[in-house]
Amino acid sequence: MNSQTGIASEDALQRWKEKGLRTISPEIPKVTVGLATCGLATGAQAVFDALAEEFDKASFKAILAGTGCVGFCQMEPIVEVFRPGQPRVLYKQMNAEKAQQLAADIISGKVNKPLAMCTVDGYPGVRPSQRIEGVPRLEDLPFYQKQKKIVLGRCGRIDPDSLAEYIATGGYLTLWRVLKDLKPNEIIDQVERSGLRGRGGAGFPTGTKWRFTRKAAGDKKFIVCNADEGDPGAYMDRSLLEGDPFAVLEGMTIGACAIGAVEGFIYVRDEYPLAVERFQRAMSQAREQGLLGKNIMGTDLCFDIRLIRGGGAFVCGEETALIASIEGRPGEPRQRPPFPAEKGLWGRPTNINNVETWANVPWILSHGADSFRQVGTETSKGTKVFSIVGKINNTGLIEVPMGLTLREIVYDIGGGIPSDKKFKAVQTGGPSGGCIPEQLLNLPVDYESLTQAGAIMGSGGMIVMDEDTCMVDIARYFLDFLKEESCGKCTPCREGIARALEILNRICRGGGKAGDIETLEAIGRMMKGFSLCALGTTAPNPLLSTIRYFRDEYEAHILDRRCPARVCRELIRFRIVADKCIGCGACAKVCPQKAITGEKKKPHTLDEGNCNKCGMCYEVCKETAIQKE
Amino acid sequence: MVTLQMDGQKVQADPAMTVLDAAQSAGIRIPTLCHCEGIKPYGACRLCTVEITDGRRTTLQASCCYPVKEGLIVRTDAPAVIEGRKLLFQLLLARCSEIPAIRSLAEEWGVTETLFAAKAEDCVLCSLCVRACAELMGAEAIAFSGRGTSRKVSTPFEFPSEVCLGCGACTYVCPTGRIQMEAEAVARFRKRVAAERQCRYMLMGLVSSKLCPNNYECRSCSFDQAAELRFGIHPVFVAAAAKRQSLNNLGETERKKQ
Amino acid sequence: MDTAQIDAMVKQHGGDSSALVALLQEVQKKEGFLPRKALSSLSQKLNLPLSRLYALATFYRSFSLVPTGRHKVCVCLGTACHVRGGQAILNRLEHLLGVPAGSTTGDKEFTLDTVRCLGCCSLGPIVRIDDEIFGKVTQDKLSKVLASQRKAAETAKLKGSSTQAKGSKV
Repeated sequence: MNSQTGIASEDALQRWKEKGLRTISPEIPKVTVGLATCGLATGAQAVFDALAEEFDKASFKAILAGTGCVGFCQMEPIVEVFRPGQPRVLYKQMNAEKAQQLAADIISGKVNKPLAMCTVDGYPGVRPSQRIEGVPRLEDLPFYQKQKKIVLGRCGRIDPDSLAEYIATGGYLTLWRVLKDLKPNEIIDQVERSGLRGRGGAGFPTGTKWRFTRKAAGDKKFIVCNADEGDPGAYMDRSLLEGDPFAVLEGMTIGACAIGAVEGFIYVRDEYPLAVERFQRAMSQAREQGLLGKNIMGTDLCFDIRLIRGGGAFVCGEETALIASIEGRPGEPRQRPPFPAEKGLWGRPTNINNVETWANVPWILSHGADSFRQVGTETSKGTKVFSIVGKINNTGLIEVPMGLTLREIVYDIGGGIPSDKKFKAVQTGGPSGGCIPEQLLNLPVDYESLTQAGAIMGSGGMIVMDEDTCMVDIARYFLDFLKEESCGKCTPCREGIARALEILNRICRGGGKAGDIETLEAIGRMMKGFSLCALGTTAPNPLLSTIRYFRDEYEAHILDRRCPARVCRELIRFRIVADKCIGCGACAKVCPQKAITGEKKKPHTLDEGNCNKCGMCYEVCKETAIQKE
Repeated sequence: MVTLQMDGQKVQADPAMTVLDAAQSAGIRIPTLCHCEGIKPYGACRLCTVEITDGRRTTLQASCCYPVKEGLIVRTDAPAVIEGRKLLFQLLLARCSEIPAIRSLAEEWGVTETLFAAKAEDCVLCSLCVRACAELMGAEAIAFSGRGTSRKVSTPFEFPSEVCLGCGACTYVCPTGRIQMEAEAVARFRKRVAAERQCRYMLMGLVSSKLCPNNYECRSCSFDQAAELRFGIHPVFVAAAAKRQSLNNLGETERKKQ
Repeated sequence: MDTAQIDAMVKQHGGDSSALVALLQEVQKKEGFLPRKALSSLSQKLNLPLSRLYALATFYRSFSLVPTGRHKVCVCLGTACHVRGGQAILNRLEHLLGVPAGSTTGDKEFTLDTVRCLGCCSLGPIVRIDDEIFGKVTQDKLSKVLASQRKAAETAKLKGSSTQAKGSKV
């Protein structure tokens, strides 16, 4: 790849920028459909196809494109309509039928207000648009008001496959300037000064890790992007890789220059095929344009990346297990010291950072460390991407400045709990994290506060739970997950999790004994100190935090054989309330045990002896004649 | 030499030592199960965990894998260590409730009963057999399969091994007596034609050429008895050390070709 | 897979240890599982002990040592899906398919499995059948989804095609 055909000058960047601007804001109407995994799962393809068909029928000249996730997953499928000279409008919860209607409006130049979610600004080269009466602006929507986009700025706005659009929105100008103006140590100075901490969960200062790796002795160095996002409920990294892969690529390239690495790896979990595809396409394009590979942007920097797909193991998110996996071995962690910065892949100094951490790098280098420091708290600078899911009205992906409170996230951004149910807890940090109760909702979201509360920041998954969630069941759920995912190498984790789970299963089935809670706490304490890796040392967190804040629920299970949230099957019963039952027979039809009998139009009866508590009758009864107690 | 504090005692240690090595050299007792002289430390059983203060940080660490450093402060009797160790023994006792070696090790450290329901596993997953086979013999006839609670030592597909050398190192290092590879290999060798009946010492690389004169009845073989007397340890440890030595002599570039 | 295919695969991915998992993933994709013969051939071709390949094959969840069904039904048991009733969905599917999670139906049509998580948490509870994701699934809707999958599978069989059936979305 020689610099004559690649991008190796400010002129070349400028030409690409103009190319990108022309597709971001073309001269004919452009309609963009969110085609990330979430969008596709809600039927976005059908929306896309319907729009295409309608435009075709009317011979309407418009560009129809796909984009990444704009974050408001609750509202998917989302369609963005751009007409030159007019405000861009986002339409929500689309389907094929609504798409037909919308197509007609687009063709005739109208805004469909009932279907509209908001207007959206912030596109390069376009002045802020006028308001449309009756349609709020994006930043005025409660979901977006308190967010601040550093890392997710391009997701949902540009075509993630388009290098030109990436450059048009500021991409690769940073790498260009860094390569021209900064020495490797100066790059590390900036990252250190910014206060950026690892976004994968541990929060280790990124600049410090880079410095260790740069200083370490070795004939070659590696950098790695950890995209093994295994926390269930977390999909920030997936969205970044699907929505703005070039940002991660540019961040890694800057890192390679700073650390002195020639080879890099990105380790993507097997369950993310679209992310793999998008990132691979981004890498090929980058190679074609001299932005990856030999003599990047016409300089001496040589750096390339290999994509490795995970084999399906949560433990491979742990850095030494990840190293083992890349080396072609089972994902078994090993003891540290030595740390990967000193001895990582094949015994060489290796810098491993999470996807979101890498994506922050270009912004920090282009806006300056001090700008980054202005966002966040004293110890936790910048923003954090969270996925808010579970029992919450506005599920989606958000990016907020560190220091925002949990209450603001759950209620202001998240819109509170559906069906007016009562909030119970918010779980952060995945299987390594903990449950935070109502009384701590005013906690600011930063590394230290969450750790002190018995949770951790983690990778950013935030699962909201309500009165219908059983906290003992949640502890059991996480241990059940970890039992499957533990590599099994060390005794405390392998045996500790299995035995703790035995006790919890017993408790949830009504066989709890006095002393069980104390035993669980002792196992937890031992695992925290004795386990080999972070999977083991943090495995007790969900258990210990639920015991700390919801001990009464444990006691109800153990002493009263009762599940207050009515979740644990052996501790609940279903029965039919005769005077509410109209005898429609819907329940009897679906009962897998044939435990419900009755004549048509007469109240039915449920044989509790045969009932397996599946809850299907409860689900289908339209008369609320079935009680769960 | 570096100086560290161990249970209030000043201990001098070679910089290449681990905290466990240093403790053993100073006569300080620390329980172990997956540790074996001559095999690289692995850190699986965690019984050797102690409290280590390194600079400003105090944490619990497996002493078999922690390199000594000037000024380390080590406590093998910290409350968290004692409490955790006892629970760990209880877990091991429950897992291998019928293995005498585990019972006696636990008893040595004051644990005779367990809170947990007894299982009758015969393997503690210490991995000594796997490591001996890989590190000492380079045969890799056995390895771990599965993960978590279904992790176990096995041959590929649990079929009889075609690459086992019958050296018996796995049997020698196994703390519970579970591994029987040696017997299977010997049975396999007995089926070979005369010209292919290599002596195990030849397979181990300790002699350049020798056929078995004794139908693999090694216990009644004078060669085997003499060798055992001479080495004082399972011959495979000697073989491995000799191999390492000869590799060192070959030099770096040659080693890469191996 | 024959030796020629194995050779081609090794040539494409490279024979170094970091390509091992990728090579196994290729075999899994082509065969639907990891046949013993394929692993032996790979072991010989790469000059690596078979035990190493077996260790990888049994450690990582993406591999199966036994043939799997024509269609993969996967229930997401991620935390968000769990909180929204994912376990009940799994129980229901076990009942409808007549096999426990991790097994294949007698007619080799469906393999039921679990996953944590697919990253579509706003749509929980989720069931994925082959490449199609069904969101906001309820126990009731499940029977309908499966029935339409079965019907489509039968039609495809009758037509003699081996392509996957596409079910209707919930």
